[in-house]
Amino acid sequence: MIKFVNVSKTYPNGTVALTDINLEIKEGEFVAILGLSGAGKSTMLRTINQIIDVSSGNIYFNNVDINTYEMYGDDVEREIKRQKELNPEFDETKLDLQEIDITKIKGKNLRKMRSNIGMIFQNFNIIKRMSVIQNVLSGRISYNPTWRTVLGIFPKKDKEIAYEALNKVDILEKTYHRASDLSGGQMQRVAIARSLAQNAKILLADEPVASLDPITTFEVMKFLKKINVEDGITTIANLHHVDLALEYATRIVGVRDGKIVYDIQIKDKPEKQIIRDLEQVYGRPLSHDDFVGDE
Amino acid sequence: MNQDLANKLPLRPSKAKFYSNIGLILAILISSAWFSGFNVFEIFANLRFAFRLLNSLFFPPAWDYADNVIGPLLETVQMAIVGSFVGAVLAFPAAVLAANNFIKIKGLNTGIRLMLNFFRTIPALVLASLFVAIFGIGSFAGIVALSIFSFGLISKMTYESIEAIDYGQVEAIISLGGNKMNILRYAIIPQVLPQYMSYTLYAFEVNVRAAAVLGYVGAGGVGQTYQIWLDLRRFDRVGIIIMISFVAVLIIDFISSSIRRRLV
Repeated sequence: MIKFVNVSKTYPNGTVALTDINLEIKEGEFVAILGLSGAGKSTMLRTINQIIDVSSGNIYFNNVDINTYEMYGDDVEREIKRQKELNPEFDETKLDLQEIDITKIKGKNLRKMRSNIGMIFQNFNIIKRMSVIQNVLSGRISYNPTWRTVLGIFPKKDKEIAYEALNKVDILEKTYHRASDLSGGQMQRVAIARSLAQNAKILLADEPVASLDPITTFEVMKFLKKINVEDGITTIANLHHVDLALEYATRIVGVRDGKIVYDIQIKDKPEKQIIRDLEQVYGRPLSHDDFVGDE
Repeated sequence: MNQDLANKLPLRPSKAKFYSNIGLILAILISSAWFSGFNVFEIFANLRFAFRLLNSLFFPPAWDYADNVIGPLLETVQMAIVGSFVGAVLAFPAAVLAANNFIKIKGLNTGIRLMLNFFRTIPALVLASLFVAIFGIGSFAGIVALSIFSFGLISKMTYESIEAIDYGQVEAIISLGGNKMNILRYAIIPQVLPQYMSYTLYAFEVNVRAAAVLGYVGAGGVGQTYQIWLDLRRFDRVGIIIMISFVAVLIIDFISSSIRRRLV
């Protein structure tokens, strides 16, 4: 679904963040990216939706409809079926699926590409002075004309999508609350709901639980896993804690000094072996700080 | 102190810089006072004139004239309200264009900032005199002057707030596929709106005080009455205008600043 080819990134101040990244991620995977802080995890995530541009290399997405920039992913049949459910008049013969290099597109097309890719953050980055529903509706901005989004008037259909998204992360009862009144875990669930409303096929999670307590951490991770499994949303998460990666992800990618130094499907190897391998990635023995602990 | 500790202790940093800074500040202060002709003794020599003036201003207060103050004072406050409002409305787009984290066109940012600085350099009183020349005597000229003055003030403070916003929220809107207008609406405005409103109220407070003198150049409000009674040396009437204006400013400042405290 996503393919990094020789991606490098050097910041204008000379910091080398990524060096020659080659990585292929399949639809439905839950990839945990592990590594020390400053290893380039955040930059790598942000190149996927081009919040940060690359210095060289390409990032390809397969089966993108060139007319709408909608992603059809690896399982095209399934996505066509879903589109037909959303819109009975959907005409699959008009589809023109191509491989798109996101580093090469700009303006409106880039924005359309981004609307396929949700993102959640360590600091949640929801709009605290707006209500929960307004926050989730902001996930629909790319599907509406600018005048509507500026006035904040969304169609009924979008509101229904928003309610469903809130229900999915079990926070529907907070719909009309001001976002600033929520706890950290609730804010992160609103952020996930916003990505669901966005109809994201890929979810980028940048340290999604780093500012949460252990109990809320597991709660948020379970919702991420739920939408990954039930909705087939490909998830790529920068994580701090090794045990979270082992429990919720399907694959671990280790990053060190801007390079991928480790890449493994979790089911292929015993956990103890993976933990030993990760000591190489971190360049130090793992301590209890690298684990959240038991639930 | 034992010798071991004394040896380990790093060298005490020199205080030379501190003293030279104090010296510099004193030199600037004294030379400024000298060249501008400031003289402390002058104040004491003329103290009795000052007391005589104070006496004629406030003792006894010219209560009989108080009724005539209310009308012009109200006009002053209305001028300040309209001026702050117009200034604030114009200030927001200017602030957005001036902020270098939203529109990253250096020439545009700098151009707008130069314009804002230009407007803020001209004192409101001078602006008012110029507009009296254009629009004629009356409160309209004063309102235009106050609008421009508040425009400069509010937009400067607002663009600084825009530049200080949490960029994470901007990233979130970009990741949703949002365009510039969406970023403005969902990431910037929610973050700066309380500050912007607070700056507008602050401009209003400043405007009430500024508007009180604008009448002096014929731009309406209570200043016009100041001018008349000062010229006729009716200090008792000047005194009552000062007193009532003082109370009005006090009340307005109190209300406005308590709203501002709640905003931010």
